[in-house]
Amino acid sequence: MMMKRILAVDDSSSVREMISFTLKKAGYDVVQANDGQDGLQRSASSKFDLVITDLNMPRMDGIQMITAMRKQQGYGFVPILMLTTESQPEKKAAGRNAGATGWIVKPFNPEQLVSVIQKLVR
Amino acid sequence: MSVVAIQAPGSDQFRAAFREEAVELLRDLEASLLNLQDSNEDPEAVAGIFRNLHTIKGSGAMFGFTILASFTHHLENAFDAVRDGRVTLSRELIDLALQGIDHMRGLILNAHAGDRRPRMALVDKVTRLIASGTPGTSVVEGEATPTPQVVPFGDSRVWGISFTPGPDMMRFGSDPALLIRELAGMGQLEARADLSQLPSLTEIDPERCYASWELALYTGADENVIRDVFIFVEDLCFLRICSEDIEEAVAVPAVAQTVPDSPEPRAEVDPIVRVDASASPAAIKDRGPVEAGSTSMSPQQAKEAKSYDGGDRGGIRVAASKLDQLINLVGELVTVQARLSELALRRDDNEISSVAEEVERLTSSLRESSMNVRMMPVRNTFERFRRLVYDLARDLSKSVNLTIEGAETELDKTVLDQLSDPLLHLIRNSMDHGLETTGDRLRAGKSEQGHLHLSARHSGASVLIGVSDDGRGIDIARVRQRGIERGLISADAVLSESEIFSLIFEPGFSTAVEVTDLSGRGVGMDVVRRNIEKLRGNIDVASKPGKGTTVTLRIPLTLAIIDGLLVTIGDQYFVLPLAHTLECIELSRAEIDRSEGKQLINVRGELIAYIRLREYFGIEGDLQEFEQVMLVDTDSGRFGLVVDRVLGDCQTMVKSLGHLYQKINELSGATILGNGCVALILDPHRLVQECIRSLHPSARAVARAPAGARASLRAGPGSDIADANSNKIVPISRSSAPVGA
Amino acid sequence: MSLEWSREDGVSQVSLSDQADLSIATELKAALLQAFAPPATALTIDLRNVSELHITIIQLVWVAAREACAKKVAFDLLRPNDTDVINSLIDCGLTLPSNNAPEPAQEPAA
Repeated sequence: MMMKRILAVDDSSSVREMISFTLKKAGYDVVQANDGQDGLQRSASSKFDLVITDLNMPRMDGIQMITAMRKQQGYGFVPILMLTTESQPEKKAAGRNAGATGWIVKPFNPEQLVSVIQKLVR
Repeated sequence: MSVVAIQAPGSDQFRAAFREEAVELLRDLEASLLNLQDSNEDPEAVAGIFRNLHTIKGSGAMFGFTILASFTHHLENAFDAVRDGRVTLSRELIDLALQGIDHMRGLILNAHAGDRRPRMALVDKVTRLIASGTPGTSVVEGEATPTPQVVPFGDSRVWGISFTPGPDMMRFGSDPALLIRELAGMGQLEARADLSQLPSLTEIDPERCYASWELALYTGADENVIRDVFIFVEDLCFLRICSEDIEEAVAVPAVAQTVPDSPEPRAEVDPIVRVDASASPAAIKDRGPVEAGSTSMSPQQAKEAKSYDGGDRGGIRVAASKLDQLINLVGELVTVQARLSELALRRDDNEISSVAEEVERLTSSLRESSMNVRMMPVRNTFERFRRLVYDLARDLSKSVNLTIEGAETELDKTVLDQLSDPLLHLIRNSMDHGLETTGDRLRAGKSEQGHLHLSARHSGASVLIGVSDDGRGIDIARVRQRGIERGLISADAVLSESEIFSLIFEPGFSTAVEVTDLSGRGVGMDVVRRNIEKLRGNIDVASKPGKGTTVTLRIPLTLAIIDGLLVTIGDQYFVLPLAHTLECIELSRAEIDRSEGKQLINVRGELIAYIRLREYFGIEGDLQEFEQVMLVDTDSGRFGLVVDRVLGDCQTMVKSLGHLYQKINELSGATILGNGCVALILDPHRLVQECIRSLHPSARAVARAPAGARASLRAGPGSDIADANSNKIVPISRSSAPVGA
Repeated sequence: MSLEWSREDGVSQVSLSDQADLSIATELKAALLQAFAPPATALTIDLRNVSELHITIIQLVWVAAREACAKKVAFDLLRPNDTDVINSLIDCGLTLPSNNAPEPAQEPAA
């Protein structure tokens, strides 16, 4: 079966690397983007099976990106996971309204990440 | 359904009742399936099977057996399709259904039972079969579920989950199938999808989920963990999660889990004795709510189920251990009553005597009633072997037709239980060594299908159980040869046919050329004899080369208490089982003298040989002027047993002899009399056999001759009895056997 | 390409391969509508080479089978070969329609 492609969007390179490292080890193909704008560009140019994105980012934040991405061709039903913190419950609702599939609360460990991803892609 | 009814089914009491009902339904199902293959497609039988499955599914779901219900659903679908003619009833489907039944039984008896893999493989095959309408191609079995299963133990329970995705769920990137697979990873999951809400092709929104699911999840995870699976879709779907407490603590005793692949009959399935309890309306009433509650069974269905079952559901079920206790108590009571009668006799007190008589009468009826309760028809034991025969025939690629006769014959429950194993071995042996392959049969000019016959019938206080086949028979020369090789007999031994046949029950004996999994390792047949002897029964083998073999087991009706005649020889008490005793004739000194040591008595023109027990057991004491000849009916014909005095009837509780004395074949046990003395219980069959064995060969030939030849012995003077007359029974000195615990 | 379809004299064939996921559901519906346009006589849906079978695709296959029955169009389903696909179906309690059985085998939840 083809390897699932995941787009990881975060302005923190260490978080991106951690996500990338963990998911590659779990058998996914991971592409990184460093903010919302970068993320949108990458999703427009190729197809991903899942998108994981931070919310607080420069240039374009996560919620804006999700809203825009849902309108992109082929992204109507792609799972989009947002990274939130306990201190921002309202962001969760906003992300949901924008079309996010689910969320993962920071801080998280690699196992938690993989288990959430597996909820959303095979 | 009333509110009360909704709450009630969860209780253990109802769950236990459901288990019993379901186990019976499964037994019926199994029987119908096995019958189907005989009579091909019988619409009524198929409808009956469908109904049974439907009942199990419906009631199962109601009493919290969700996995069972869900699994049953697939089989029900299959038979629904057969009913509608969408699927042809193939042997493959019957096989699948039988395997399914095994699995369901496991699920019923042990709610946690059942590995998910075989179940899923079964479901897969069944669904494929339905889908294709014809026997499907063989499907992945071993690798059916590649995802490793983490099945948590401990506080596991079944969760019922209703899951209906809302119209928008997929627009948020969630795939319901993934959520369900995630649940499957948490334990054992049975899923049932409902696609009934699908619109037409023109109306369907291709990107919307119209399916909904009913799920049963057996897991150690708690509700929060389960809810977590749905965390991203909580607001996008309808979700209901409820726990069905599945903890045991039901009246059904712990039962070995059945293994679907095992060809063993499910002898352990029913540890419960059915009691014909017309006398216990209260108990029947207790069952009332269960039946009222099981809405899946209409009165009509219930009635049909009854007649399907062969009638009687108006009984109660009692754990076998409770009955054993009752019988023990009755046994003790019988002993005490004997002491009371003895006391009354000695005191010569009319008042006590009349009370003693009353107690005796009541004890006797009580004993009879309680023994009766333990009596069960051999039907269930026999019918269970249908499945064994079916499976074995398939495994051995033989075609075998099993017929059953005398299924209504009753035996003590304990005896029946212990009969299962020996019968299993005998049937296996017949299937494996006796019955030939179809090719061999045709070459031998026999019918293609082999015939195996199980029979039961009464014979006095015994039941004769027969296992017959029309196979190749026992090769007597080979058995003899093997017996010599194994050192069981000497090379020049003169043996009767039946003595040679009985060698096959010697430990380590086997003539099978090819050792198979089924039998032929030489284990088994000696176990048969041991088990039957434990039951105080015996085995007889008859076989004709090329024609078949019949093994007959003679089994006493009951083990616990017997009716006997109390007799004395010198100062030693003996009990003769009444069932074998025909009549009692006085034998005077003068007659003995007249017979010139021939030991024959003339009974209304018939000459009958007698055995002087005083001499046989070497008991000292003065000879009586008149002795008593007890005429007994044995496998070897009628014989007389000579004793000093007959004291009268007695009911005795059989105690086994200490194991040092168990080798003394002539005795089947001992009992303690009212006066505290020990009486030995005689086994007339064995006694006579031992006597015959100690005679010289020519006499043995006469005594062992078939009935026709024996008739000439009884015919009186003129026929060729001279030879028999010349044979004295050789007295054998034996010390009277002491009694063990 | 994960969806191909053809039609000749009322005989249609729809073949899905690889990931038969939600992204082709709309396309599949369109293909099916065309397949049933009169004078349709036969429809074959080929799922032998799918490596994934989304619920929406399964739904459409069922709807097609039902439509075929109603319109007396011969319906032939070539079932998936991939064991993972089969296992996934079983895990989810889903079935595929048979060649001549029009109704979903499932009944409403009790």
